[in-house]
Amino acid sequence: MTGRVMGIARNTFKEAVRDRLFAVIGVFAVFVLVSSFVIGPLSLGEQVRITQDIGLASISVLCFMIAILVGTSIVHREIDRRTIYTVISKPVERWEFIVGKFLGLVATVSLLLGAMTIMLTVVDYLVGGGFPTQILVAVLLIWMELILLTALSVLMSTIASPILGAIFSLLFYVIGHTSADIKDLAARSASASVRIAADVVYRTLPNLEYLNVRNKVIHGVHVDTTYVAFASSYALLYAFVFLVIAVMVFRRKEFR
Amino acid sequence: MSVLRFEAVSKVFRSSLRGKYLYTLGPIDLGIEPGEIFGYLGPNGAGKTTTLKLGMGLLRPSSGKVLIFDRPHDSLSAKRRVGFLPEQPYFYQHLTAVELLEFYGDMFGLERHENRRRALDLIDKVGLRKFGNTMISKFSKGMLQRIGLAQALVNEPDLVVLDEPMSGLDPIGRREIRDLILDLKARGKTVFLSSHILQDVEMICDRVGIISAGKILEIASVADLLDRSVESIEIHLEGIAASEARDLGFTGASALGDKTVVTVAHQAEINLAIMRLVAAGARVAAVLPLRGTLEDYFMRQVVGGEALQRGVPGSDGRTAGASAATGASELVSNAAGKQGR
Amino acid sequence: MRSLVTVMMVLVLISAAAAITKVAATLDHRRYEGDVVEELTYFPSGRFLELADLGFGALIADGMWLRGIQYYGAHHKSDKAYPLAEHIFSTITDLDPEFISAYRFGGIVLSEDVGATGAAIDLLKKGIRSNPGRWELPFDLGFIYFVDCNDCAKAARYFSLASRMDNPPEITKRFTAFAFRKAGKTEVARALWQQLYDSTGNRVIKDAAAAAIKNIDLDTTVQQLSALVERFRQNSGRYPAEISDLVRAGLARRIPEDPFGGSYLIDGETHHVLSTSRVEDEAAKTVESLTKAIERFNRQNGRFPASLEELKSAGLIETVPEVEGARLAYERSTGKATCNPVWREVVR
Repeated sequence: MTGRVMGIARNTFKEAVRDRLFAVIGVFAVFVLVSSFVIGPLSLGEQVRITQDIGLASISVLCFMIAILVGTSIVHREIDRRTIYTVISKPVERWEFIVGKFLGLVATVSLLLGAMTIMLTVVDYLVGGGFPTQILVAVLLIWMELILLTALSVLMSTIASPILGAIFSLLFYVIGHTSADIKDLAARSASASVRIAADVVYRTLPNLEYLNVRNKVIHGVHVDTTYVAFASSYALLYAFVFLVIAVMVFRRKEFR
Repeated sequence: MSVLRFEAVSKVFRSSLRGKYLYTLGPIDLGIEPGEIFGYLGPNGAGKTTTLKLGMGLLRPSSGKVLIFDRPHDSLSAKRRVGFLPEQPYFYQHLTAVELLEFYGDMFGLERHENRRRALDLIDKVGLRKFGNTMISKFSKGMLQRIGLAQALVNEPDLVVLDEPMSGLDPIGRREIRDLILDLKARGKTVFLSSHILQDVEMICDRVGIISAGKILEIASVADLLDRSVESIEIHLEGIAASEARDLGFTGASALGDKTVVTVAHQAEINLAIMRLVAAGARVAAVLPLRGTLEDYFMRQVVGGEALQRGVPGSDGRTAGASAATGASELVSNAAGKQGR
Repeated sequence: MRSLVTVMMVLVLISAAAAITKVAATLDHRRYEGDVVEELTYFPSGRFLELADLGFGALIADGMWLRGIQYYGAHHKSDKAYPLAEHIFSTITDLDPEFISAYRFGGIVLSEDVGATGAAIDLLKKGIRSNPGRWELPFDLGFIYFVDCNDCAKAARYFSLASRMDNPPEITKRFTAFAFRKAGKTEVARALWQQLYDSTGNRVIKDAAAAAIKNIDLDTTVQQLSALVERFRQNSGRYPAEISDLVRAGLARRIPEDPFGGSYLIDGETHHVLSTSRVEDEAAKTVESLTKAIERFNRQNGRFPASLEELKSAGLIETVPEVEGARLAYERSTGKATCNPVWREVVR
């Protein structure tokens, strides 16, 4: 069983990493990190903070792009191009297929994340940031957020075309980061239906801000391990939910 | 015990969410016996590929059930003993041929060395020895067909299901694949293949099933079908001129090279005809039954039968009748490949 | 078999959803613990932001504006302290120097709620520099000078500036006149608040203006009543016992209404006119601040203070407060401070 899952995961990883898009984004990532190094001296002494801020922000955004762009097309492409026929006709459970795809994607995103983090810590060290354990905490939660988004994009790719899936995922990302604000603003609304709608949105969609400790870390506010544990389990629970739904959808799928 | 059995299997298709067009396949009752090569014939849009997909679990039957080796067709234990080649196959472009086969080997849980050994062996067997490390993205259609057959054999299956295995191959390739299939039979495997190249089917299949517009018209052994289609018998003679034969009452007699050919309508009349001709001084060079080809039989069954059927929409939107006719003309001109679905 | 698996998956989903709700509740709770530094991180320094904002300054300013409003609302409901207000509004206006509302709202909050008049003045001056031609900003500045700083000369100057802008409303000219004539402070102040009430669409400002008007009316009424009490004494040689005495004596036509719904009393000893609503309000505020001080004392020393004097010597309050018309009491065993209006005690 794990042999099949890992086989699919390995294949997905190879496919994603050999994709031209991955190389483009990888190059771009290097570019961004190097540029933060260059902008530093212009920032009137805020170099460390700028480096960390641009670094973390770009890690978050670029890895998110990989997760969404590659993820939303991955299952759909297989169905579209019918490579999936030869896999489904093998003794593979439908859930093994979904989980394998998911793990392969996570490995791909993690690769990019890991490489960028190493570069960031090097650059950060060079501009005098010392060894930033808290930066790694921020990266850990970014990683959790990426796992959640990867699971979401796998789900999207089983139910929608790549473009639609990408749009939905982007919307999801934006709402996820602003849902607390939406709830606060809506609480002031006179209309009860607006309040209720905003409350529903807040409760069902994941509040991605829980996983964003970038600001805290940069300003030196300590994030304790309990919080990290809770926030991580939050993200992983949602990822689990998305995968379960994806499996349920995929089980019913027919390939005309 | 049938290797693959369809029991009253039918599938209902709607063409859109509101179901404007209703297309039903079946009910199909079909049993593939161990050790035989079964050919599944039909014009485009008849439902060949749909039947195969139903068998492989890519589609779910609206009613009825499919059994493989007496087990549910979508169970893992059943799938372990089956190999499948889909029509117009497409494979992961980012892998090499060997990597592709090893990937499928992983799906069967093959151990690493055994996996590699089999992959190389199969690549050799399907005639792709020099292309083991070439990316699939560079493969021609014929090469894809071959690697497709290879992946169907990774697990040394007892049942091999092939959808249009000869499509896209040149005559040499088709010969090689035919030989491969015969070799499978020689080793005790069962083969279920669909095709619309009747010559190939005639050459290698034991039995055929003919499907048209979603219904099975006939299932019979190839020999039976061809026997039924014996139309007349030719007697090739030497030592007698065509005109002399005509004088004897054989009105259709004609010259063929240095021989005279006389046609007799029925098997029973052969002896009498030969006696008369020999008595007139002829020598018998050959006696040949003229069989209709499978193609003629097929055309009669399918195109003729169409008049009795309601015109139902095929998957490409045209009626089955229309597609049968054009399909038939395609068969005659032996075009490869199908219209887009 | 297939449907059994489906049912199982649905059950799994439901339990996962329940787990998520629990975890979310914990996370929510931890987030809003009111860490000041954490709050600050939601309003990063404007100087830094300019470098990073790549031309989206106005958009970011809008985002900060929304956050700033929530910040105000949250603290208005709880501790009525707004330590980040100056930072917020100065950053918003750095990002988008033409954001007029930010200057105006910032000015009001800083002067009225925070009491940081200097900061309010600086903010509005900055706004005037970036937006010459907008009458609202010098007008608001004049308002602050008049009401909070009692500086009629500067107020007049800014009202006058406002009246010379493009399309000034007629009110600017009137107020310039007022300021120059230096008509009694409360009248002008009231007129200023009324103008603000009428012109603004911002509900928070409207409420603040309404409350201020009521307070001014209350003060005016108390002043007028006090004057009448003095006249009564001059006429009759003794102080009136209650307000209705004034009416009976013909000095007032009717008992005036308290805009906050209370009534007017005459203190038996000092013969001052008291407004019950004012006294209750002050008493409540006093109790609140004393309770806070007592709690702080408790946290520092592990026990309640022996008396309010001890609070003063511990440096937690400046003086032991006195509320005219109410009696202040402190019980050491429970650490409770009470301040009850006198008339309640009499009734009991």
